[in-house]
Amino acid sequence: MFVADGNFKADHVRQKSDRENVWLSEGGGMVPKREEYLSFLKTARVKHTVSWLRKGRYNIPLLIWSA
Amino acid sequence: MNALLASKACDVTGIVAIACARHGCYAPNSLVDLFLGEGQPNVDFSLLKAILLTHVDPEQGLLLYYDIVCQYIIHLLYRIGNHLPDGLNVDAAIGLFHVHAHKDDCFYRFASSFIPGAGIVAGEILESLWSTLNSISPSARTATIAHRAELLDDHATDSNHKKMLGIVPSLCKNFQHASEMSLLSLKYYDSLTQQAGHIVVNHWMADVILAEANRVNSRAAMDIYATKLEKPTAPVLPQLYSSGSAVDRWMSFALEVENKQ
Repeated sequence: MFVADGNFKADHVRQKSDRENVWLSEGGGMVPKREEYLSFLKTARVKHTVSWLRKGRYNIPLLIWSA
Repeated sequence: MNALLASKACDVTGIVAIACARHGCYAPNSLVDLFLGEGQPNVDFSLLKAILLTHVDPEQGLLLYYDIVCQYIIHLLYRIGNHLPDGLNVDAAIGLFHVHAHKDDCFYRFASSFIPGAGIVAGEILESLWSTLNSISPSARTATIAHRAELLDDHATDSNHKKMLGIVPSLCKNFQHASEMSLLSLKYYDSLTQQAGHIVVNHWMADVILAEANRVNSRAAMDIYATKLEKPTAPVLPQLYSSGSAVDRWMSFALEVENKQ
């Protein structure tokens, strides 16, 4: 039994330089290896579910809903 | 909502974690960063890592609690079916706090109360883990990415370690509580059965067994739990949105959108 949830308070402010990153125990704990994660996201298969608003006679352009 | 916007200031907008729904231990390698809202691929990666590193056996099956599982589960096999262990059956549930914000059908289809073997679990254990994480995560906002990752690692590992140290007294307490509650619910069940009569109860039991057998393939089978009363229908509005002024059309369309939610 797993439970998944997001937390939007743990954000991170962009830093001027990424050069100072020194990884001591990457992937050894709860946070996965960064490269592996990013490459998964790049190649991930995505399939969007379609809302009824986009179907049939309504066919509302997606732009309205994201506005 | 700020978390959903691409921001120039933030390169990471949040995190997703997976934890054990019973005891609330973080699963290894499944605390992932979010870059633009809570995307399904982020959770997919997290889930795959959790399955792999906690050694979930296909025979155990898997029950995933997630606030938006009713959407997430639909194309799960399309997205990561080829990465999942062979023969692993992924079942879905929504935590009891979140399920009431969904439409009525979701309650019968995804509330853990109706899932055989789920036990009495609210499925919201990460919310309580977030409350301690939230007190330290701001200090990592301006750290380097690597330092932040290790800070989150340390926190989550420490949380798991503390859980482990306290697990025996905690389980003993829970066992005692569960035994008392199970006696109590048996008492209520018996008196309800007496009032309703055995014939009806046997009939219901057969219905429930059938629905539970079918729920993995067709979640709509669980809708038998819903009350059979006619729903009060919203007054039918004349289909104005093809006539009248622009404001009339807009208003009646907006009302129809609300009715369909």
